[in-house]
Amino acid sequence: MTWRSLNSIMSVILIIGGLCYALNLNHSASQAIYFSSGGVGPTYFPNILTALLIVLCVVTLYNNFRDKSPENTETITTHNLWYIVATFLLVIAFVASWQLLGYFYLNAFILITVLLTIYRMDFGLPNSLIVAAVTSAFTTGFLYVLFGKILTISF
Amino acid sequence: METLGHDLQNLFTITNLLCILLGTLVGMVFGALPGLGTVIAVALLLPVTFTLPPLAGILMLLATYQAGEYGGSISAILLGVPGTPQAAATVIDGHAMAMNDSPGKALSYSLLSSSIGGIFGGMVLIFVSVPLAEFALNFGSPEYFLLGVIGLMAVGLLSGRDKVKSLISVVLGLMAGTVGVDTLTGVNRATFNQPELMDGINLVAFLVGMFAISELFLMISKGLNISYVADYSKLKTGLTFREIKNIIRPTTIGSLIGAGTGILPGIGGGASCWFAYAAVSKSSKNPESFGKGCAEGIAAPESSNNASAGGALVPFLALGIPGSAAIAIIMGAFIMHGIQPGPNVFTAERDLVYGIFYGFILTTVAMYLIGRMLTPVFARVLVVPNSFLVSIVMVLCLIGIYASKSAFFDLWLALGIGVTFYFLKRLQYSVSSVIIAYVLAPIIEENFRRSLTLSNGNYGVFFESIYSIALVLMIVGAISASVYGDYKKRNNRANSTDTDERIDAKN
Amino acid sequence: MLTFLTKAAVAGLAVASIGLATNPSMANAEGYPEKPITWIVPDGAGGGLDSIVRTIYPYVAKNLPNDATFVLKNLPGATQTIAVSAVYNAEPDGYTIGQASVAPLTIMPHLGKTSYAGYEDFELIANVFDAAHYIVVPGDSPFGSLEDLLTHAKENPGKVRVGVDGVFNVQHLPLLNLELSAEVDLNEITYKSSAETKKAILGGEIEAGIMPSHIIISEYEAGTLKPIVDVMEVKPDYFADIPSLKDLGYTPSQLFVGVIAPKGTPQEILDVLSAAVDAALQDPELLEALAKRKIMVNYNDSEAYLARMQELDVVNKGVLKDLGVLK
Repeated sequence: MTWRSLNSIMSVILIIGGLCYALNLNHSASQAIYFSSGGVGPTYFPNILTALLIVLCVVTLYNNFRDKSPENTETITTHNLWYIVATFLLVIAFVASWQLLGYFYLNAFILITVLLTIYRMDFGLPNSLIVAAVTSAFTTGFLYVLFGKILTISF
Repeated sequence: METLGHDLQNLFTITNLLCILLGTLVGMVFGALPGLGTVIAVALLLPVTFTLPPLAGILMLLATYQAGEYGGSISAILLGVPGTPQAAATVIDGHAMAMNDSPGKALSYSLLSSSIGGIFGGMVLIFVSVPLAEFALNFGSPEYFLLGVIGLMAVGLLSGRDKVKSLISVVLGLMAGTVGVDTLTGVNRATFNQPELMDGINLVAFLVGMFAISELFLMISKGLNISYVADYSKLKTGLTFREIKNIIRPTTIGSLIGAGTGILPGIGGGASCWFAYAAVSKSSKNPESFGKGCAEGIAAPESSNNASAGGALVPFLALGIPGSAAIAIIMGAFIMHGIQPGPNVFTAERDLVYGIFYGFILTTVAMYLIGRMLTPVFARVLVVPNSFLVSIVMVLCLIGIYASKSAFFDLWLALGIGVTFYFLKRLQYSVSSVIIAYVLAPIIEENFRRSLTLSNGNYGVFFESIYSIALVLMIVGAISASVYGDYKKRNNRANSTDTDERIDAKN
Repeated sequence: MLTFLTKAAVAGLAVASIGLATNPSMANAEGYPEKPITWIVPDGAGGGLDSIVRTIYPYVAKNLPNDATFVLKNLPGATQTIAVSAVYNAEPDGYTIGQASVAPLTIMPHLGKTSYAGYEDFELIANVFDAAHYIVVPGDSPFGSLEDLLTHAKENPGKVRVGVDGVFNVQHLPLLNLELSAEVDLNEITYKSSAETKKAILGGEIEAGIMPSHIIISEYEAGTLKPIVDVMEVKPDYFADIPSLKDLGYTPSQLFVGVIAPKGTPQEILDVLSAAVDAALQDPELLEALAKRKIMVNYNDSEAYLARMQELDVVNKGVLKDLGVLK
């Protein structure tokens, strides 16, 4: 993907987001009964903001459409892209597992261990796994002592 | 003199000193951990104070508050992730200096200006709290609205190359700031039937998502098995006399602005750091160095957020009005001991109040000393390879978000915001503009609408008091100055060959 | 009307089905509790209500059998409805209870902002404390009493500005009710918190405001603020001379905070919990700690608690109907 297309996609996403925001807001305002506050109601500013957002995004789209400079038409390179994707997916799995099953400390231990193992794969699996597990155990232990024992917060 | 001796004798007890040390340590560490921040640190220590004598307990919380304000800058500088909302402005120059020049020095600048700001706030508290508190009452809803507008104008100074994109960033921040139940009418605004959104987008989730999670993804791109700093000499924390002299001006301005906004309940450190940053960069001799790691850009917000901590105690003690979330919790410690802050507290609890006054200065001293010892340790974080930083900081961030409200919704929200801002950052949208607009949106909108309700729809309400007229004049002045500046620049540019623009495009 | 009826019908059905489902499993309370009981707090760590619950819960635990322990869970937000919804969705096994004020039980459901239909969807264990909210004017205000304020407001409709912290809440509804019954038109100004209202009154931005009693004691003594009428039913001893709306012949509101449990929690367990709260609130040590903080302890057993809730619900529904919010 080029910078140009990412830029356009982002503008379109922002426009859609702005429209959802305005629709939801005007819908709930139309159902509610409220007292007028000097003529400026709860939808006044948000609607101005939505309009502004859409206009500005259209301007960005237009500028972007015209910009055919080499920087803009260049393909996006993301160093370590797959690490980012893996991290994101693992964090999602972590939050889901924490929310559905509980066991925060176990989940945290696994997340840090897996992340570090993947990140340090260049050092070989045994090395990275051991370092990861030890680091993770220390971190989780620290969190447990701090939150679970000293501050008695239950996760 | 005799009373001073008596007050100091009250203050310098082993219990008090130990409590200040403990509070400072907790505040600094929690401030530095992204997502946890000052409010949670103070909230967690509150139950501990139940068992302590009033002065010791309150000083512990104040020490936590004070040290948290500095602590927030530690991660802002080292990782580009503000530990507290009040440190968001420090990211710009602090992180740049840590990357380009020296993380040790950046931290030292922050510590020194934080301490000076703290002392300044303490002095304000001791000498002028009662008159200042009464003065602050002159600032009503119309004045707050105008102040918010001035703050928003500061965004203009931060804008990057693409003006349209910075404007979009501002609009996004303002929109995010309007989410939740409308205070004035009770209408749900863009809550999408999520009860978790009724009180607005959780500030911690928003801040951590846009700064921390997106930054962690960017760090992965920078390389996992490298560390930020390989050259140990960059970790040196000492400052030369000349370097200290450089930050006298920004620190003074920052302290004044910080104390000034601190005494206005509801504005607080989150906005004051931006006011200070804008004022200092606008009046600086070399404004072009801002954003590239200049010391002034660290000193201004850092001195202001600590000065605002002292300032926030002014309306709290004198009028019983807590000006920020952290102070509201500290108020709990007062009430727990049966002490009512307010006009009588200066006579009814004289020893306690003066203990707090002098103790507040002491908390700043403790912050400086402990900060001095810990700064080199903190700076070493950047020697740690990114692989360790990313995985551990990720978990800390998620804990921080959850700890603030125990809502899983906030975790999902932060992840969504994190991914969105990863792309927005790569497309050169301005994160700073988003956060400043988000902080100011409710101040601007609510006070605008409330002013009109107060006046039954009459716009004259914004020109009624001498303070609002002064603020209106400031806004008009700033706008005309910038229009004139643009005009002059365009004339110059027409004369010279467009070198500026070419340099701009290259960057 | 139709929507309300359907809502009530659905609620009735839901209650009935829950009742059917749990009836056979009526365990006896012997051996209860076997594990820590979760106590849901509708306030953030360090907040006012949070610190009250943190003061009380060890004493309740002490008065429960089997070395009972509590785990506090903070679920702040959305006028306590997040916490109350969490209680609503919890297993009715006696291991989840929650603290709740009256707004999430008698106001928010009528605004259609909750997953539950009202207080009927819960077991009310016991009331713990009451709060008094006063209409407050500046110390130098020309209004010495509510009558003065109302007379002035009648002559100048829409001109007298009264601050409240939020809309459709325990401060706003009584004010609207007063306006309706006294036939005056006040200009209600909404602030985010009582602290903001206080600043606005002291700064002269508004003529009066509604504020909780405990935050104005110092100003009252110094003469900078003057409470003129209690809008709630119960009066604190330090403001015993100041009349309440009831004394003046108006319908008062009520603000009380108690402990609730999910619908269908076995009666024996509810009795055990209610007795423990009762015993805790007689402990002189706890009473002293609460008195220091100006908390008006007011234990009501579940019947009295329910009766008060019903009474208040009727009042609040009436106000919302008159305003056209509830059809």
